[in-house]
Amino acid sequence: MSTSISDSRLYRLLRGELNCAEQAELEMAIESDSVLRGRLERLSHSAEWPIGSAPLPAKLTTEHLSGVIASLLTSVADNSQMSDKPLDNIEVSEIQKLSGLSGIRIVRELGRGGMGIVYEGIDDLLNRRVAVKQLFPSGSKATDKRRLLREAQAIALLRHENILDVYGVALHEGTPVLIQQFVDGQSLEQSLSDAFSLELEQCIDFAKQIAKGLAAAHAAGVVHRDLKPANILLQQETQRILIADFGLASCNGDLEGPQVIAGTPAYMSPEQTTGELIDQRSDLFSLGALLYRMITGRLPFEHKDPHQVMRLIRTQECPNVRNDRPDVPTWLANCIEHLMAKSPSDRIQSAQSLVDLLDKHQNKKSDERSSPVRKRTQVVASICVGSCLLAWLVGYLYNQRQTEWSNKGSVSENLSSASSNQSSTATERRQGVWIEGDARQLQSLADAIELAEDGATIRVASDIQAARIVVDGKRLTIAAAEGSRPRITCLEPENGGAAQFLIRSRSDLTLRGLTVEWRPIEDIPLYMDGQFAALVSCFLDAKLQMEDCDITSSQTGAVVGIGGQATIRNCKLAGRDFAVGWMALDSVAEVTDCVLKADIGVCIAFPPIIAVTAESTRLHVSNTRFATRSSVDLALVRVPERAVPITVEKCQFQGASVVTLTGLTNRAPSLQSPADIRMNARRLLRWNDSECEYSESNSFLDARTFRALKRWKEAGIGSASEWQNFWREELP
Amino acid sequence: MKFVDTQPSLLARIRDGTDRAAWEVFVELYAPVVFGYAMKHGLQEADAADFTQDTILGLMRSLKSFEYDRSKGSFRGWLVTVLRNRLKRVGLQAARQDRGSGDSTVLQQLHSLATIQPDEAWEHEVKLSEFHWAAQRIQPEFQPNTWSAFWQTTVVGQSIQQVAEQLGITTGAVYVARSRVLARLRTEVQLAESGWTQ
Repeated sequence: MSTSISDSRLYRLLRGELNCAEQAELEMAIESDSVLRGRLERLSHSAEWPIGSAPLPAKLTTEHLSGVIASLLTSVADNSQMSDKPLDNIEVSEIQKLSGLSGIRIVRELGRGGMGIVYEGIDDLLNRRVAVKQLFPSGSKATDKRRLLREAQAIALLRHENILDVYGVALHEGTPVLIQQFVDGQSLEQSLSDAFSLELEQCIDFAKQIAKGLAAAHAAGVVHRDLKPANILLQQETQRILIADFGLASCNGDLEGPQVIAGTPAYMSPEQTTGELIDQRSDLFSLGALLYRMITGRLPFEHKDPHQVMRLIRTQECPNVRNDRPDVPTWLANCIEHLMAKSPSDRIQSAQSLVDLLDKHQNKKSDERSSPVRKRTQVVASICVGSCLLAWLVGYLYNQRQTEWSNKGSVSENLSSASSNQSSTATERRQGVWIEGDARQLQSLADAIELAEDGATIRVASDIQAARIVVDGKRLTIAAAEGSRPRITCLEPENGGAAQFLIRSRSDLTLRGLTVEWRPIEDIPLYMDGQFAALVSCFLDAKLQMEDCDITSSQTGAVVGIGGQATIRNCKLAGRDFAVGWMALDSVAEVTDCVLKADIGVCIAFPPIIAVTAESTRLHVSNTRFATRSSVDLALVRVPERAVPITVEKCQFQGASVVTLTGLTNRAPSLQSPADIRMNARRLLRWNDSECEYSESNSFLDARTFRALKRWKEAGIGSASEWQNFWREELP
Repeated sequence: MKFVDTQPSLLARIRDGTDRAAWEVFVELYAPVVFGYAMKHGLQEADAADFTQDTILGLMRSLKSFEYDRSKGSFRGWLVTVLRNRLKRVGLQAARQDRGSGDSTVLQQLHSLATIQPDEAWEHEVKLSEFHWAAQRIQPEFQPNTWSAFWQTTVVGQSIQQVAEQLGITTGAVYVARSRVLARLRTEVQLAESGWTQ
């Protein structure tokens, strides 16, 4: 008997793939046949556990251990404990020379630039994280390749603490690939768009670090040629600046021949805009523009047409930073003006002189602060130093540019009168935050929420920062002032509680025409304080309306509701964990004309974790685009008592899967036959879709476990078309 | 250069530093191991708890900063070295703090550190922890009867016959049920292990 039963049959038995009758037949055979039993046990048991000889010890559980695990899981979640110094008693691996470039594993995509994709990778040999830059595989033109190879060639010459290290270069399937230092942080572009502008001291410090990096590069004969905030990386912990992407840098001696106009116009030097030969002083102009941007939050020359920007760079004097920020000291304003002189010979001539200049002023400032006892003498001394420097600078500028000043005097006068006109018209329009029908100018959004009466509209006209906002027992509208598109930047979370806009029960909030961004440095766990963390969070029995808003959260979900009603129209919602999470209990969510994006999690989840009881519960999505690399999770149904009605119309889906059915439903052992499974789907959902586009390449249904997915597939509802047909047919 | 393996291993995911799920698996798998190991070496429960917390946090930092060098040997081997060193240090600190001279527990600790072969104890702890971790994960996939047949015979230590009678099924069914769970358990553990050994 034993030999007539094949191993593959036994495997099927172990995987639970046999039907009841087949299984019963084998069980009988096994009972009486010790050889067969032996075979089954060999196939199933692992040598790791000596089953049968002695019982395995039960799991070690003590209060102490569970306490430790709970506290560790919390610190995993807040992640803060993990950034300290490493353990001290482990041998650090010897740095070996990078031989070839094999053994780099790509972990994830970090970003895409004009030329290629940057990945995060792990170098197994050296056990370090690396950034891998690869040209777009499709459009690798020969010029791009040459450019990238030149990039490698140029920076391989450079080793400096303010220059991103290039470890090596390789050809992967004919396209060049750079292996670079991995930086835990973000680009200066990112910081600037988050913070609008920076503290003066920080601007000076960053400029100095950039200048130091440039000085090293220039000394090696390398000109960057494309200095801009996107190419400057900021190491988060140390605040160290690293110049990256010497993408257009030319090596020494490579400057002959016609130059192709390259680079981002906003930071180009005048000589770059005309395609003239450039030298290191071109980088200094760009650094001046960069400093201008850091200080004012604006570009020195703004126009929507890049050709016009280039024309302005050639023809217009750079506006004085003090127009925007009167607190900028004169020496710094002069320094920027000096860097951004039209003619290279009128500029500060080397990055090193800039470093020296910034150094002097920084030292002066720190001396001023250091010792109150010697304050008097120091003030005197610094006045001396300050006035000497000023005199030097003024004298220098005067000498250098006397001729230019004389014939451009009228132009600069016109400019300054123009800018003062501009500011006077600006003050006529209301700025900041106010409540409609109320003349008071308010300090913050939180003040406005506090003061606003039921039914009031709060107007926001300028970019503001906002601490946590709680709407409790009121109907409020927060809307952009007419003709403006304000950006509300949320601050770091305080005192627990991740939601930055919290709408409590029996409250009603409308957001209109706002860009709300939240990029906290701290990592926030997916689930905290009994709810999913999100930028906007709506309680049970609350209402949320959003129109024409742009909600982005880098560390949490974008919008979450625990019950309540949501009407979201014409919005862009992007979160790390999810775009919209609307769950539980008697809630209604209407999403129309939106784009929903999620980085690592779901696009939209509608998981009634608590039983759905009310008839009114439903999710309706139309004209909306879903984009995630993970699953869309359009139905994450768990333990329903009533089928959840989900309607999707004219939607586009981009994700690993569209519908997720999970929870007890997958595991219910009683659901064996395809008919049972199909019946069960009807208990979970009431699905309705029309005119949707599902991507062909991905699987439609996700069930979280392979086994459950197999069951759904066997029941004939695994693919998009099967799913659609299934919902069209009438079940008995 | 090969662009393969975009599905990162557990180790890579931990090094990423943002993958909480990977960290959670790490804590669930290894905290009981470290705790059990410390207990076996004579630490009191409360001390073992402190030791576990410090060690796991230390391991997290070390893994993040790439101190584990794969070319130097297995992950488990590395881990046990770290553990042994830390335990020694704790023992020495305790001895130095001199909680009453001639304190027998301190002496006992030092003694056990010197005599116990840590690797064997360690391997055992790891396997046990993996077993229980995986069991917890897969239990919901099985019918209660199937699960009981497996649990009662492997962990509780009842005989096949006894369990068959209790559950009112044939002994053949008990064998099959136990084998099915064990086969599934094995794949789950392999899944966890592959992350480290790959």
